[in-house]
Amino acid sequence: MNFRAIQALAGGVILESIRRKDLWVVAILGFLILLSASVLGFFGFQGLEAFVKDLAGSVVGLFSTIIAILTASRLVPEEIKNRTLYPLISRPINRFELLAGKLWGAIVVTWIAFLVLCGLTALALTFFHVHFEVIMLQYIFCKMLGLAVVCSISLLLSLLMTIQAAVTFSFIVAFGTSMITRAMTMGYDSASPLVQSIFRVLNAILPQYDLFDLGSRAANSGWGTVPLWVIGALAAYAVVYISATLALSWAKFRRQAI
Amino acid sequence: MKKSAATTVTGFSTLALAGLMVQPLKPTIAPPAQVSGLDAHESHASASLLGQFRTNISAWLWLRTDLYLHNGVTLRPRTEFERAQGKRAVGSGDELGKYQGDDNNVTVIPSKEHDFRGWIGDLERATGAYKDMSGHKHNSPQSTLPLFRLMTWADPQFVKGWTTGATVICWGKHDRENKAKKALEFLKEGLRQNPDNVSILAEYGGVYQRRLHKSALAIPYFDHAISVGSRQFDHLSPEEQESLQDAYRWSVIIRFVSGLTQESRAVAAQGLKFFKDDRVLFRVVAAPPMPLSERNFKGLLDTRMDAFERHAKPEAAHEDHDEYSEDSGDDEVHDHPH
Repeated sequence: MNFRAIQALAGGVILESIRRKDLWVVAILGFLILLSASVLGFFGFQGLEAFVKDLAGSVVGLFSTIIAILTASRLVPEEIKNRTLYPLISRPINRFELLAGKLWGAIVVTWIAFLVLCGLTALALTFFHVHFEVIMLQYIFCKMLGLAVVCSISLLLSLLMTIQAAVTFSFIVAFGTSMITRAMTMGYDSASPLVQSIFRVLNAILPQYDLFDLGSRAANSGWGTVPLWVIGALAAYAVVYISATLALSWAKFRRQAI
Repeated sequence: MKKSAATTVTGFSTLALAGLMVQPLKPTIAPPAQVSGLDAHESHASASLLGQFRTNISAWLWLRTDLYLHNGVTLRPRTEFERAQGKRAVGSGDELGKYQGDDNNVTVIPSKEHDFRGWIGDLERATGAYKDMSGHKHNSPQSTLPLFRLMTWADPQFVKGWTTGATVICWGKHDRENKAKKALEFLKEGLRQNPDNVSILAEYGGVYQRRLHKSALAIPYFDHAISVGSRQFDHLSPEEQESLQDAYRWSVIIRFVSGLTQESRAVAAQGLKFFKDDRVLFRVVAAPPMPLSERNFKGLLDTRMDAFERHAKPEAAHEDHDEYSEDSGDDEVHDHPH
């Protein structure tokens, strides 16, 4: 595998993102966070620490998921639409490397956006003397893994359907999976054996974004850090899931007539 | 074209089939139940889009308070199936549990023995806010107080925010008088935003009675709640009806133990028209005349109040000096303001 080509492609995605002023959107969102924090500051943060951290985590998670989906969904379809894909595939790279490079680029753009939002939020909260525990670092790391999974699924969906459909479906998967999982765990015992087996299959297939969200522990005090084996297991899950979606993307893309 | 059409039809058919197959689970997953705190909003016919936004914010904040009391652990009521199967609720190790309904709650993230997901469930229990909540204790309700101020600021018509907020302000055994004063100030603002609201009026009287033991100051609020509530009983929400019932009980008991037996019976008889099954009101109507002496009535009051608080729903406390207030601060029940 040509890692230099993958890296170059990823660099192209990042440059394109800067050129399209996507990161400006992040800056504006960050400014909105600061503004909201100052409004909340009007009430005083005393006693509101858990709420503020919870809210900040939710907002940052929401914005960065939106950015991940919008960035990853349009990568390949727009290259095809603008006919800029031809010069790429005429180079000595195969289609798998092309996809891998694009995905890596989308992940890096999303991570940059996420870290910028985290930085601005931390700045705003520190200004109001809100303290963070060590678990916040684990939260950031795990969230980055989760965003990588979001990118890989959006990329796969963008190869299976139109951009609009892929974006919509990605949002449904990103925000609906936890509800589906919750309903399955509630209803499993009372379900028939056939439905139980469907639940098991669905549970294995659906991306478990919730696993990457340590927000509820980070927002509330006294939970302590998550054991390292758990972080390792999450990283392994993310790698396996991303590899699987990338393989499916490649299976579709390699036969696609351009 | 034909292929994609066939794929679409197959996809939708599969979805429809899957939907039909899981229909029997509907009562388990989404039982018909009112979500407390949310239904108050739907009664505002004049709610504008902005109003809806405000009520949504306050409802969301309301739900967050429960979360923070449990330090981030999300609970849900047991389903009928779980109850039938004998799945144990988490219960509670402190007094706050009965307010939270923890005697019927289980954790949203299931325990290992109730989770079919295997290692995925293990990971969620390790990364999410999960712990064995059997006999759990709560964070101090006062830590949620800023949220009540925020939710009543966002939606001043959210009555439950005012009444529960007052309860939270009064929580704890220390500095009762000062807390009660703050609660009354809070409720006073609530009354300004919601004039003649039965729940807030009843709560106001409740603070005087339960926290400050100033029956003379409490009874005008109970009576005003009765006056307003009885006139528009059919238009009251279930929560307001409950507040009205409390107001009747307190008004009747205070009069009864003050020796105002006939007046107490008259109020009880009026209350029974609305609350036919109320045992407290019924007992007062059916009780024989009880001569009270000045000497023993205070002790009797305390005994009856304690008994009532054990049987009726316990609630908040307060105090204040406004258009209803008496400057004496007299504790004695026989100092009836009327």
